[in-house]
Amino acid sequence: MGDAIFLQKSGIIGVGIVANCGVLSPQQLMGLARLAQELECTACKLTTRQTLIFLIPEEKLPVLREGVEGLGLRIGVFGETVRNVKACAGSSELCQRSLSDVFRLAGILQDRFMNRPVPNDFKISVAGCHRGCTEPFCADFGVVATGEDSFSIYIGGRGASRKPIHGRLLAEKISGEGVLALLEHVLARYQELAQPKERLCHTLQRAGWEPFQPPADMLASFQQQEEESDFLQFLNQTTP
Amino acid sequence: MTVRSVNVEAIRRAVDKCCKTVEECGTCDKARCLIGFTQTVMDYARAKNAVRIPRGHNFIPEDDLRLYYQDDLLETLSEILLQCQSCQDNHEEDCVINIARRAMERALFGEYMPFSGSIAAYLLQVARQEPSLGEKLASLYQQKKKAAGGGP
Repeated sequence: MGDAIFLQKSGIIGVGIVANCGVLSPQQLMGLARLAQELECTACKLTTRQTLIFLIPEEKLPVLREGVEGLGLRIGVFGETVRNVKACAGSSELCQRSLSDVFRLAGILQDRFMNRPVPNDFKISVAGCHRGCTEPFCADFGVVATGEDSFSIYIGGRGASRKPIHGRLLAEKISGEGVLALLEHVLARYQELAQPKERLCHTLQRAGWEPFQPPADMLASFQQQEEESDFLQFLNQTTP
Repeated sequence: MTVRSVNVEAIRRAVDKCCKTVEECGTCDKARCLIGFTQTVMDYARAKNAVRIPRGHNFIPEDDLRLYYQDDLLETLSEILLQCQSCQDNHEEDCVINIARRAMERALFGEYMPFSGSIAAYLLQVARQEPSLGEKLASLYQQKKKAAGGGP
């Protein structure tokens, strides 16, 4: 567990930089460009988890760290820890397909859970609709918006490795608050049940699905009722 | 899919042509009329900037058994298909285009046709179940598609 700093073959280091779900402001982008030049950065790499890797000489790390924090960004995390949240830009202002403001929810998830110690990698992906551009089925904890403040939660996915696994539905029609509570629940069960360095998908295979099921009353308290629609009212208004 | 990418007005204009008008019906109850219902779906999509109506197809007035002019219905259905994004695996039952199409199917065929997200598969299916109407529908759709600059 530690910062996302990776020694490269050539001796330089790659440093992962995390923004709010991969979205950078022009100021942050310009600040990063200045830092890249100042720090003799040989290249910047965009990652599949929406982070940016700076390839720099090791001695430049303290300056990069300070500069990144000054831009409102942070150094990524690596190892047995909850990683940065991968999310789509679904909000009231951005992606038109998004069914809920997942960008905001993902920001809260990242602020609250990133860097929390866990038995092995724990990746969270959030998608604003069932198209799932952020591959929520391939995450340890995948969230898919199904309506306004209504989400389905999938757990136990793993995108990489020789044996990729799709996550399984844990709960549906859960509010944003419920997503936070269920993540706490899943992390607590994972901590309790996992063997050292065991990925969640393997814990689920070994310990079974049952211990991860949230209690019925907990589920009910966060479960959305049938999606409200004012269409019927609209339809009836048109009738004399 | 977004409301901006759907020509709601074009569908609304086509549906309007199917309306029997108050003169013929005596009254206008859109909640009990397949045409009035479809007009309202389009009005709702435009007014609310919405492409989904949760459980909207549950409100299709299936007890409307009036006979509408087939040519007008075919014209409308082909316009709806033109606006459909053929979402394939991402097809949603709550989509306003889907709801409008289903209401028109009810008026034209008296039943719903299977739709899995592909216009091509749909047209073939309609042609199998209703050869004569299916052929006309496919032809109208292809004409509209060509006129819109979207291939054959």
